[in-house]
Order: sequence, then C-alpha cells, then structure tokens
Amino acid sequence: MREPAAVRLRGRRWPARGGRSPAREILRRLGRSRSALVGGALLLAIALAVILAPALSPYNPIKANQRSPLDPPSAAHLMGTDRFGRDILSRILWGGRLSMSVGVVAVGIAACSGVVLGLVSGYYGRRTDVVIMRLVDLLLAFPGILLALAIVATLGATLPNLMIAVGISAIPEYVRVARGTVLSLKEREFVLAARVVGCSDQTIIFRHILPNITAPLTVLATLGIAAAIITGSALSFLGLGIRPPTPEWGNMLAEGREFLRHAWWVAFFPGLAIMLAVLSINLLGDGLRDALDPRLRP
Amino acid sequence: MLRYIIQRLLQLIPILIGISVLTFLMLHLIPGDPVLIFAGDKPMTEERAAEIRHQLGLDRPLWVQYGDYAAHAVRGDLGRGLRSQRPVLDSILEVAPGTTQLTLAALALATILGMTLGILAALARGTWLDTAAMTFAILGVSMPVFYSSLLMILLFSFTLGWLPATGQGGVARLVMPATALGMISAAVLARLVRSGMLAVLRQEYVVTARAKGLAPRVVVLRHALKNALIPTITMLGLQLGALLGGAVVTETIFSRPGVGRLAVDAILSRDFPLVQGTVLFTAVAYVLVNLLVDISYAAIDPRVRYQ
Amino acid sequence: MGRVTRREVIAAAGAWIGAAGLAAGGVLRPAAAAPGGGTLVYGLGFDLDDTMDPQVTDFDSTIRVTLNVCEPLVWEPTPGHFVPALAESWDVSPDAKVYTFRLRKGVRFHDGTPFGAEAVKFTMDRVVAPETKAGQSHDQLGPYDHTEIVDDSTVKIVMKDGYAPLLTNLNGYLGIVSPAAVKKMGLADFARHPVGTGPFMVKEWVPKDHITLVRNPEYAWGSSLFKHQGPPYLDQVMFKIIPEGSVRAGTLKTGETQYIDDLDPLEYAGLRNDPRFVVIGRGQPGSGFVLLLNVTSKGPIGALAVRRAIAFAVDREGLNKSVFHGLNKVAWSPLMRPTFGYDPSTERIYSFDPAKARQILEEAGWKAGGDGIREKGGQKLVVDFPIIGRPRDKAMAESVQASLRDVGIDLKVTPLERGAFRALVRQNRYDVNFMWFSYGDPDVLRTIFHSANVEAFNRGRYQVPDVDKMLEEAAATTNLNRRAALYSRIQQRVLRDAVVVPLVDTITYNAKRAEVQGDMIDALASYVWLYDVQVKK
Repeated sequence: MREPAAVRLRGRRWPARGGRSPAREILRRLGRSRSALVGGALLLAIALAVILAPALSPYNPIKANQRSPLDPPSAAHLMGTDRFGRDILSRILWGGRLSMSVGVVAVGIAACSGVVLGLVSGYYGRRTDVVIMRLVDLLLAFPGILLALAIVATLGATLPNLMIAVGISAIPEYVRVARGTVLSLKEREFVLAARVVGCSDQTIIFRHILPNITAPLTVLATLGIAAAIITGSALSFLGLGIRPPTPEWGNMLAEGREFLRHAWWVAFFPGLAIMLAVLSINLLGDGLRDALDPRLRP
Repeated sequence: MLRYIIQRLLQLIPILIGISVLTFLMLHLIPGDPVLIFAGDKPMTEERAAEIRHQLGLDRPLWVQYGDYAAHAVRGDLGRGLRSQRPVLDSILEVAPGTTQLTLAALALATILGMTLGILAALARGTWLDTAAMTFAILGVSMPVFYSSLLMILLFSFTLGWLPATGQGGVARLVMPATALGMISAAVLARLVRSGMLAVLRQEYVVTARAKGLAPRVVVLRHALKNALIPTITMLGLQLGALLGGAVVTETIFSRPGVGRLAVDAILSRDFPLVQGTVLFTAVAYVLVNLLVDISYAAIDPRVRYQ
Repeated sequence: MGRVTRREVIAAAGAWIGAAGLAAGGVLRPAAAAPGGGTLVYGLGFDLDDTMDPQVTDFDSTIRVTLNVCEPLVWEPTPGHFVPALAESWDVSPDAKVYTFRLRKGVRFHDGTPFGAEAVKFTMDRVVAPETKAGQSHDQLGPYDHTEIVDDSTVKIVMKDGYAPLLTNLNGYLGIVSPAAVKKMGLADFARHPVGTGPFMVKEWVPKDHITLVRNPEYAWGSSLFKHQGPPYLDQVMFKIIPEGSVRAGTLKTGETQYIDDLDPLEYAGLRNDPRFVVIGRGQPGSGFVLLLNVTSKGPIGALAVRRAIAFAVDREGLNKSVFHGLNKVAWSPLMRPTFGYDPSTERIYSFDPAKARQILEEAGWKAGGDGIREKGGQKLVVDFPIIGRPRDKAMAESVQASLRDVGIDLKVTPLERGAFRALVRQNRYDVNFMWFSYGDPDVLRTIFHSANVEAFNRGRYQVPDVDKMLEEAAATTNLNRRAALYSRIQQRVLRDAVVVPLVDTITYNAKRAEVQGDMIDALASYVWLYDVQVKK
C-alpha cells in the first residue's frame, strides 16, 4: 500500500495527489513544459559538444596558421578563422569547457557558502542573524559585476580567482533563500518534534530543513549558472579573466571586436555560443520553476 | 513617513562603514607588498622601500590606517591617481555625468519598452503577440550586453551606417548603448508586468467592476495598471544594480567616458587609488540611490513602512 | 495683419541689400579672412600621455598635437633635408659638438612674450633639469652640455661629445616653449596647456576624449617650406582620441573626422580604392619592430644557440600578414630601409626556417618534451616576455608565441601596464622585450646597443666594447662614407650575436578625405603638419 502523504520527519512534505509520488509529479510537469524540453535538449547538446571537444574539434585550437588569417566561414572552416588563422569552431568547443565550468564552479561556491550561511543565520537567529545579514547587505551594496571586478583586481586574474570572484558576487541570493526557508519552517511541528526527540541542531538543519530548500535552490542555481557564465565571460572580455591564446568565449569575443567590420564571424560565433548556452539554461530554469512549484511563477 | 526615512538612514551608516572597510582592505589583500604599487618604475632598495612605506603610512597598524583613510574619504579626499596625479574624486566626478546619462536613458528605455511589452502581452494573452513578446523577453535576458552591443554596432553603424559607433554627446550616440543596456531590464520587466497584470486581471474586484458596467479600457487602466506598478518599481530598483554593472561593459565598448570605464582602465593599469576610489564611489552612490527608491516605494505603498 | 505697404517692401529690401553688402564687404576685407576656415577633426589612433608638455612627454601621439603649438628650430620634410623654422640658418662644427643657430626675428609666443635666444636656452636647459622629469626629449637632446646666448637672435648649443643626430631631433620633443608661461603656470598647469609660437593654440583638453586647438591670429612667420606665411587657414583643429581602428576609419567615412592616422590595415583596401579618400603611406627611418633578447638572462635565452634558433623560427611574413594585414615589410636588419646607413646584405644572414631552428635546438641538447615544449636537464625551454598591454603589442607577441611554439619554445607573454612593466625591466627580470624606435638617424643603434644604455633602451643588455667604439665614432663625425661603413659592420655584428631579431619595417598609413589639402608628413612619417591645411568644399 502506498504511503499516504503526511508530514514526514525527514524530507519533503507534499500533498497527496491520487497516489502518485511527488517526484513523478514533478517530472510530469517538467515534461509538459515546452521551455524545459527545448532548454534541456539544447543544453544537453551544448554540454556534450564541449565535453567531447577533444573528439569533435576539427583542428588544434591554438595552432596558428598565420599566412591565412581571417578566413570567412567555408567548408574547411565552418565558422571561419581568427586573426592568427586558428579555427574558430575548434576554439569555441574547447573554450566552452572553460566558460561553462566557470559558471558551474562559481555557482557551486556561491550555493554552498550561501546556503550554509543562510541556514545558520535563520536557525540561530539574533546576533548571528544580524551579523550575517549585515554582511549580505554589504555584498549587495556593490553592483554585481563591480564586486567581481574588484575581487579579480585585488587577487589577480587567474582561472580560480575568476571562479571565486563570480561566486562571491552571487552569494546573497542563496543566503536569502536558505534563511527564508528556515524562518518559515523553524516553528513547525516537525522541527519542534525533532528537538524534543533530542536531535542535534546540526541534524535538524541538515536533515530536516535543508531538503525543503532543494526546490527553490535548484531553480536558483540553474538560473545562477547562466548569470555566472555571463559574468565570467564579461570579465574575460574586459581582459581580466582568461587570456589568449587559451580560448574562452569572452576573450574570443574581445578579439573579434577588433575585426567586427571586416570579419564579423570572429565575434559573432563566440557571442552566439554564450547566448545559446545561457538561453538553454534559462529555459530549463523556467521550466524547473514551473514544475517544482507553480506558485513560484513570477 | 519621516520615522521610516530616519530609520533607513540610520541603517545606512553601518553599511557605508562596511563599504569603506572593504574598499580599504582591497589594497592590503593584494598578494605581494603594497609598496610596489606606489613605487612606480624606479629601482628599489630595501631602505627606499622602507622609506616609501613610512611616507605612505603603510607601516602603521591596520586600524590606524583605516581611520586615516576613512577620515580623508569623508572629506572627499580619495588620494591621487597614480598615472595622472590628479585627485581621484576629480577624475570620477568628471566622468560621472556620462554614466548617469547612460543609466537614466537605459532605465527610461527599459521602463517604456518593458511596460509596453508586458501590458500588450497580458492583454493579448495566448496570441502570437504574447508569444512573440515573451520570446523577445527570454532572448533579451539571455543575450549578454557585450554581445548585443557588438551586434548593434555591426548592424547600425557598419552595415547601415545610421548611427555613430563611439563617443559621447548627442542623442545619436546614446541610442545604441542605452538600448543595449536597457534591453535586459526591459525583458525582465516585461515578464514581470505581464504576470502582474494577469494576476490582477483575474482578481475579483475587476470582475465586479466589469459587472458594474464600466468600459473595459477604464477597468484596465485604473485597476490593473496601478497594482502592477508596485512590483515594477521594486524591480526597477533591483535592476539598477544590473544597469550599473552593465554600464561598465557598455561604456568600454562604445568608448564613452564614464565611471565604469574609468574603473576598468584603472584596474588594467593597476592604478590602485583610482580603483579603490571608483569602487567606493559606485557602491556609495548605489546604496544611496537604492535608499531613494525604497523611500519612494514606501511613499506609494504605506504597508512597507511598518515592516 | 494688413496688406504690406510699398514702403515696407522697399525698407525690407534695403535692409537685405545692406546686410548682403556688409557680408560681401566682410569677405573682401583682406586681413581677417583666410580661404577655407572651419574645423579639421583629426582622429588620433593613440591616446596622449598624461602630459602635453613636449619636453616631458614620452609619446609620439602627444607630439602630433603639440608640434602645431610649440614650433621647432628646424623642419625635416625628408630624411637628411632640413628647412628653417624658428631658426633662419645654422652651422654645425665638423666634430658635431657646436651648433650655431641664427634665429628668426619678430616672433612672439601665444602669451605675447617675444621669442629669442633666451627661450631656446630655457627649452634646452629644462630638458636636463631634474625637476622637469623630462621624457623622450632627454634622450633626443643627447650629450647636451649648455647653450650659449651670443646675442638675442644667435644661440650656440654645445654638446659634451660629438652628436650628429641633433638636427633631426629638434623637430618634435624639443619644440620651443615660452619661459614666461612655464614659470607663471607651473609644471602641472603647463602640462595641460602648453604655450609656444605655433600657428595653433591650445583651447581645451578633455583627457581620453579630445584636444581642441584654435588658430593663432598673430602668426606671421610661416617657414619657406609652406605655401603661406600668415595665420593658418583652419579656425580650429580638434584631435579626437579614437583608439579602435575600425571605429576610427568609420568616422572618416561618415565625415565625423577628416583625417585619421594609424590606419587600421584592414581598412586600407577599402579606402584606397575609394576616390572620396586618400591613403598616405610613408616608410619610416629608424629601427622597426624588433625583439631584443636579453643576453644576460639566466634562463635558456642566455645561450647563443637558443637566440639563433629564435631568429630562424619567427615567421615574419606570417606576423606581417596576421597583425598588419601585409601592409608593413618584413625586416632583417635593426635599421629600417629608408634610414641612412641601411645595409642590404643583412637580408641574407637569417631566413624563415623552422626546421633549422629545431636542428639548432636539438644540437644544443634541447629535446622535445611531452607537451611539445623542449627540455634539457630537467629544465623547460621557457622564455619570459613581458609586454605593455596594448592591442598591437599583444597581437605581435601572440604571433611570435605561435611561431616559437612550433619549434618547441614556450614563450610566456605577460601583458602589464606601464609602471609594472618598467619595474620588471629595471630589475632585469625578463628575457625578451619589444622595441620600436622611429628615428631620423642611424644613431638609433647606439640608443639600442651601446652598453651605456643598458638601463634605458638597450633591453638586450648588450655590452660589447668593440661595438661601443664603433657606435661612438659613427656619432661623432659628419663624414657620410665613414658613418655608412661603421653602421654596416654594426648591423652585421648585432645580428650574428642574435641580440636582436628584427620583425617588420613600419610603414605609416594615414588617411584623409579628398577635400583635405595642404597636409604634410615629416621625415619620420610620424607627425602631420597642419599649418597649410585647407578643407575644400
């Protein structure tokens, strides 16, 4: 017999719906969402392409062929060549690995630190809460990219620093979400019950409250990866991130800017790559949001 | 109302202090000796380094240095740019109007475009217009500002020759940067306005109003719009940060003088006093503007004041 | 509104005729009017330095502006050919130590003070005075000793050692400035508003954006080089700073600018074939784009074999194509072809031969490693190359990097800003540096290879007494045959020692709209003289 939906001491609370399990319900909604399907498919294609770069890439991305620079797209070079005769398609495939991993790692950093801070802040309240929220307000006082810029300027422009900088500038939202969830659940019966039973604070936070964050967190993280990819490539575009000849979508766009008038393909394709990657993630994120909790729709 | 304003102003103080502490710390978080930044290109012996360190007060305890920094900052003395030797505040104020102009233009554009699209989409719900508007919206959010800028330059400057690609001065030069910058906020706003209006259009009192026999146009304008306005203003306030950040890239691409470009150039040329100054200035300005937005928000919606 | 009376019509007509008459009379009056008038907008490819003081600045781009404001003693329209400017005539002693100038009379600075021997002495003296913090002018003035005032319009510039290049150097960083203005304004203000005797005066400077010059109506001492002698035809010149090449060319096409310098190679073909525009190309004398290899480095590049390998490995043709779109010329000598003393036989010492480069490295014990980079005794073949982070420098560095990677050398390029770059150089923490020194005289080789200049432009840190002697002798004589012979031997020697790897000779390309006439470029192909310019309708 299927367990009727009820308050569980561990994990999710979902209202019963004619016997279907909650996970299936989510997937069903997701499958019906056009944007999630399109986004997911596109994202999968892009991710596979960049992961399989070594196999798919027709040329060596940093091998120059200086005597024939700036070739327009042709059969030999589907996306043309850049100023040193390097194949742009190969550079986009290899560059995507960096651009997208910056997004993922940065969000990883932001989510982990942000959620922990938010959970702690909301659960313990009082002074801890005040201090942490003040710090968050401080982070929010700097417009996003400026904070990342300032961090990179201070620590130096390397790949790890780039990930840290983009990550730190994204922390506030995760703190807020985590804290909000804790606050709304703190006084619920299942939490009080857990405390009566003798669970430690840690157990309560991580085993009882945290799972309830998964839904909004997933949505936030998905959309956050898109934003992080943009911020990371913006920094590289400005010259403060990954530097040539190592390909990355942002610095390829910067190189292309110089030749915009006469060799539009050098800037067009990297920018298109960023846009498609971000678009697919945004579509997927929208779909996820609708599926996980339709009430969250803006 | 006054109590609310005073309350917010008091809350402002620790944040301002926090901002100044962070920007102050920037100099000391750099890997390596801060003295090297100020040394310029002269060969340096240890004694000379110690001398410069003493001259600049870098050998004093951190909190003393901070006090000095803050005291000067409050008076408007943010030091001198390393390359130009001009007071940092002067350099910033020289270019600040450019950034303000760009940001305001982008904001205006975002508001007009966003609201129009959102309203149209809500009214034409389910039709091709709705889909088109929302497609534009999601594309707008997904296209980074540096890409849309370049595409616009390619189309409107190089191919069609309609608009100048760089510089400041005149409406023609403002159109593309403001559009590129405002497009993202417009997209976000459009989606928000659309759902805000849809939510309101369903609400009972609107149904009641229609039942009373008022003309449909009146219904929409008076009730739905007003209630959709509140989340709009909130969103605009939040978008301000995105706009300021986007201004950094936009100013660089369109070669417009502005605080963002000043910051980037300062970072690229390791002009640390200038970097600190621009970061501090921008953060403070941002916080103050947000405060203004919040206050006007409170003026419109009394419920906010009592939170 | 009633009907118009006849009287009113006649009155109106009279007013119009009167106005027309006044206008016509204005046009016919000789003194004030000059043909053309108007503003010339000049698109500058490089931003200025942080100062417009000609003796303090380091940038050619600054001099492009200030040469219209602070005139020199002589003009040099073609290499080696000098024409009177503020000096009417001059003599040079055979040992090139004493230069006597007879100055033009009746010349005034923009602030009204008179020009004379005092001003020349002041200008030269301030170059060597420590508080001026002189830039390029210091090197250009050479072994300056003092200036003697013979009388108000005769002056003797005395050198400590024979210095043949002085005349060519007078035309730029040594433009004459007003002593009264410098004293009154102080260095900081003067840097923003220099005062000279030129046909144009500084009106305003908005940093990073533009500089505006206005006509000097009192100007009446135009050189015989030019077509007229009175005030310039143009009312104003506005120098707009537009660093992006395609954007700059775009402004020329829309008419936003009428003259641009530093033409982007990609724009060349389009403009050249368009009758609305004129492209002006001019080879420069001096030393072109070269790599200077630090012979004192403790890294692999300290060995002659590695340096020779680099000389064979660099694809100069490829660099010319990818960075300059084929518009410069491949260089094999540290002297550019238009320079007096250029030795064509240097073209046979090296060639583009990656196979030979690899062979040299193999024989020197550098074996290929796993990642394509060679190693020897556990050390990887890494070469440190700091550069100033300008777009062109970055592109050239990347091109060289690609060439060297092909033969197994890892060239580490580090873009830096000026201060950090100079610090690294002073501390001798580099293996390679770029050099480019357009200069009117082959004495540029002394600037680059004499041991006395190790802390300055001798970035190769080359210290060879034989070469020093040859350089000194060549600078201290005015005998052309002797000079040519010496410079030939010097070029061959520095190439065989592989302290320098020449890349390309630079050809300056400027472009203008066809309506612009009367512009001239100097012998250095660097400065544009705008005095005679008119913009025809």
